Parts: sequence; structure tokens; C-alpha cells
Amino acid sequence: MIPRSLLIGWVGLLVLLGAQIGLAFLPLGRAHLPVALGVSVAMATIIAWLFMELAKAPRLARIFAYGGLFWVLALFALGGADYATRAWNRAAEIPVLIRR
Amino acid sequence: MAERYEADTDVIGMWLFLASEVLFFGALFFVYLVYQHLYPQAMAAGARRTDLAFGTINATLLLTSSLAMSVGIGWPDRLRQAFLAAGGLGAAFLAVKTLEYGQDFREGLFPGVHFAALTPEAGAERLFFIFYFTATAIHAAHMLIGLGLIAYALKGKGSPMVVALYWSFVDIVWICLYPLLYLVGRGAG
Repeated sequence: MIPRSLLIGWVGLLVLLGAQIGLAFLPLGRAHLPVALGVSVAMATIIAWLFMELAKAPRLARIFAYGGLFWVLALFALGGADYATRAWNRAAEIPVLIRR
Repeated sequence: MAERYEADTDVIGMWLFLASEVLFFGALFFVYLVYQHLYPQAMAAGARRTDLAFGTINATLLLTSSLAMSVGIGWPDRLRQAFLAAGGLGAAFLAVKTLEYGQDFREGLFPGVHFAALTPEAGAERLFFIFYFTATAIHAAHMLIGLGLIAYALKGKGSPMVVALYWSFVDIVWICLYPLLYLVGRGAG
């Protein structure tokens, strides 16, 4: 027999997976990516918290788990800032920028 | 008391390693976000050409294997059965992925010389499939390492908890890749 709490978590994950597929076929326009990633984050949270026993993990392990999230957000923020403020992603416009 | 600290050290060390893996895969996701921002149409065209059934079956297999792992570490008397089940489901994932790769190659989705673009933005569509093959190959390599770790744990070596943490992390990576490869852009608008 599989413990009830784990089974509920697993069913929840499958329901979220189904919801993610369903949402992909709704006319959400630009919101598709954030909506789909939101569902993925919810699923990842269930896996980490319940299956990976983060809830019962040593405090330092939890600090590293949150640290991983913090560092990846820093990567996205700094990488995004670089990408958003440079002309290298607008290669076609570069000659114009140089002429000015 | 000493054993208790030792077990904690294993788990803490694994979480630190996983935090570094988050950065590794984070960079890959960042690349996707940039592509998606620059070429939304071509990326959507790419996502419509991947096989949703294969991807979804694989997501289900991995979620179930994570459940098995979790049963194994929570109830040590069932560890062997649980790890065998998780390993079997992981091997099934790789088998499905192999079938899918075969189909991808036949349909000209591999971004090599025989790449068959459907939209005028052929270069950007190719970028989607470069991302698809890079991400899935790196993920499959992690799966192979995971299977090796399971075999090692089944011999009674190492820490089962560390193996389970790694395995479920690789599951999380698939859960995050899955919508990018199979869902975003598939719908009408």
C-alpha cells in the first residue's frame, strides 16, 4: 500500500498536468507562457515539498533549496537586464545605431 | 548521534548540488525565454511539431517514478521494490524518448542539413529544435546517471535518500521543460 498523503500528492500532480494541457488550448495569447510555467512551479513545489521531503529536511538543506531559487532569479534578472539594454539582439539595427 | 549528522550531511550536500543544477538548467531556460521573446511565431511553430502524446506519457512516467522513490525512502522495508519500480519507469521514459527521437529524425526535425522548416522563419524554427534537442539530451543524460545511481543503491551502497533527491529533481526538470517543448504555442492563440 502507498501512503495516503503521497497518493494524494501524485493525483494532484496528474490533475495539474491535465490542467496544463487544457490551458494550452485556450485562447490566452501572450499569457500562455506564464500560465504554463505557473502550473509547472506548482507541480515542482509538490514534488520538492512532499516527495523530496523538503518539509522534513534539515534547515540547512532548505536554505540551499531557497538559495537555488534565489540564485536562479538573480541569473534571470541580471541576464534579462543585459539582454534588454543592449543592441546585440537587434543586429539588423546596429549599422543605424553606429551611424548615429 | 554521529550517524544522524552523517545522514544530514548527505542530504544537505545533495541539496547544495541541486542548487547548482538549478543554475545549470536556469541558463538553458533563460535562452528559451530570449528565443521566445525574439521569435514567438517560429517558437510556436516548433512547439506544434513536437509529439504531445510522447511528451505527456513521459511526464506521467516520471511523476509516477518520483512517487515510487518517495515510498522507498519513507518506508525502508519497501525500498528495494520501490527503487526497482522507479528504475523501470525511468527506463520506460528513455525507451519512449528513443521512439520519439526516431520519429523526430524521420520528420526532419533534427536541426542538421536535412532540417525541414515549415515557416518562412526557418532560422528561428531551427533554434527551437536546437533548444529541444539540447535540453532533452541533457535531461536524458541526467536520467542515465539516475539509473546508474539506482543500480548502485540497489547493491546496498550509498545513501538512498540522496539518490531519491537527485531522481525527483530530474523529474522537476522535465516538468519545467515539458510546457516549453510541447505546450506553449500549440493552441490557437
